[in-house]
Amino acid sequence: MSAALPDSLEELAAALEVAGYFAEETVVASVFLALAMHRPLFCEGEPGVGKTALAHAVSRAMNWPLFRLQCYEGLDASEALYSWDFPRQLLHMRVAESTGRRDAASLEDELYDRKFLQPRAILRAFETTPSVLLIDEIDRADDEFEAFLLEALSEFSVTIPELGTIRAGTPPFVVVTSNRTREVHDALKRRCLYQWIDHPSAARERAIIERRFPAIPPVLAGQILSAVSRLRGAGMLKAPGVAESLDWAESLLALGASEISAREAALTLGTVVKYHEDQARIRASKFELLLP
Amino acid sequence: MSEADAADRIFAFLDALRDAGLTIDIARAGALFEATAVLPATGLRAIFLAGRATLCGTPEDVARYDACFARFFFGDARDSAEILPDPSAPPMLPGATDIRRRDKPDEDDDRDVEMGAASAQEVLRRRKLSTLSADEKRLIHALISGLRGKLALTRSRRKRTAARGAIDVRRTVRAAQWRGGEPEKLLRRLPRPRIRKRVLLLDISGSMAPFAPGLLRFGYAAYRCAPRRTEIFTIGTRLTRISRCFDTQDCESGILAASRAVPDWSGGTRLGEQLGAFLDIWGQRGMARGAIIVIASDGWERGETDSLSRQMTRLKQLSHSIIWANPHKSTPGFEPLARGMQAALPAIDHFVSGSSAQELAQLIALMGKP
Repeated sequence: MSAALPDSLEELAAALEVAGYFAEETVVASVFLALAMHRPLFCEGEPGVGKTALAHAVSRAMNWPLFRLQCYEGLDASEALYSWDFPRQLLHMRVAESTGRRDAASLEDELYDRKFLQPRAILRAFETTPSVLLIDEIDRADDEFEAFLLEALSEFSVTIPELGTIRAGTPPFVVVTSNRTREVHDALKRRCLYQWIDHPSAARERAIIERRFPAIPPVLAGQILSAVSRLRGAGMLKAPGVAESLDWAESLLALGASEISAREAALTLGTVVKYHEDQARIRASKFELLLP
Repeated sequence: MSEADAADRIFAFLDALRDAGLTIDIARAGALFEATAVLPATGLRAIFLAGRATLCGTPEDVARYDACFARFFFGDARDSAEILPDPSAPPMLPGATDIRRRDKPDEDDDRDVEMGAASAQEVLRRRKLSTLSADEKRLIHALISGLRGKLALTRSRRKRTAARGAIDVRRTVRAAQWRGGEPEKLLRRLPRPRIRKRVLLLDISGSMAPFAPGLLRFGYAAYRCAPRRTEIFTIGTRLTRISRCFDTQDCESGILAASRAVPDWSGGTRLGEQLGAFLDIWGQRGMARGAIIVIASDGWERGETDSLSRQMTRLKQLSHSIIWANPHKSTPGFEPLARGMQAALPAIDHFVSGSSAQELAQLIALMGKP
């Protein structure tokens, strides 16, 4: 593992491609800047365009371990940073008691030894350098959590009252993703570099599909791409992302299809269109949107 | 170009971006210079890529940035009308979103008689509400306290200490540590209640013009008593998010800011289309999920009402409850004849008027129902 930065954007783009991520130039530039300036990268975009996959790709490309923090309502510091292993501490006290130890001061010191500390994603990423820290779906956490995150991400250090301050040697590469279910506070956004990730261009999406499924017939790949692009323009309740294209390709391949016919479209509809209303619309039009 | 000239040019570009509506403070500007220095790219390409990563904060920012960059460095004036606001008009708020401007040819003239002022022709009119009298301010504060006493609660995932409920292992063990490891009392916890989300959609089209000032005041009051759990939008020919305007203790400046942010005062109504835009951009992602939705509108919809009934069904499936406040409802002999109103009725949980003090109290009580 090394913390050496790529020399050029092209080199970084190539490394991400080897890791299976085909990125637009603006995305590559943002990743490079986040690495060079030690700033978190704040990614927004429609579900399924590859926000989370970007963190995984950087982790593979740089060969750095990835630590993931999935946000949810009620998430607090003890689940994001560290907690003490209370049952083990209790056990330790009982053992000390039964062996007749009575020196309270040293026993108490032992209780807050490093071995009773359970580091969580953020602390683990700070301790393992270099590393990639993925803070997924920040918009699901409460806004108080943002303030806490702001503090941790601007100093890249965590203070534990009983142990002292743990500082990251090389700050980790941090990716924060949001689906925009609520507006994230400006203060956090200003600490970060901002990247809006769009649906990829047809050529890029083809490369992604062919990378994942090397055996896919070119005709089938082309039909998937044009159908997906029609769906995105048709005002669906949920337009398919890259994730849906990949699922669809996988299910078509599993059926042994070499091109999309009405039968295959009907059988695999659920992998690419995930709302009942959208499905009903497509069925009513005899799968016109999906067929070549 | 010397280095100083280049820096001047970048500062001028930053000014152009600010004019286009981006918020660029000194920290963001500093980040831009740092980014251009470390990026292994040269010239305009470096500025473009570095600026896109450091100066934007929302997808709308990204679109404005791209257009402004093209115009500033290449003199591409294609999009200038969209980016540069009318200099006399106050700039759009960050977060205020313009949705799908579409100019339909004005067909079905006969329907205009029935629809009255509900015209699809977009009339973009900014409006300044006159300053508030002391009485009006008192009224707003009375509204705030009335609403504050009636906030609907829901269970959150967070827990609080309680006398009953599930055993709080962590606190029990923590307490036991101070008693020689003896858990002498079991401590318990229950889910903490939190305020249910509320979304207010205020129709400020021409036919609702007499009620618009009152609606904004009600919106302000509703927002102030639970700022993080309330979102306010206006709907007319466009959808505008005005919640952020109300982030002030001073009701007068809050309402003034909101009235400036709305570009389509007293224009036409496209209820179905704007409701769809709300659901696409905000509602379906989470804002409408489990929320109490209050729609204040007379339900005068121009054109097809299929879209409105479809969007109302979507809204019903996502939300906790839908309250529709129609100021005409209290008029004697009122029948919900407006075609939009008829299309919306099946999805509505509570149909109220809200135009007199007593009816307002009823609306407030409904908003507080768990």
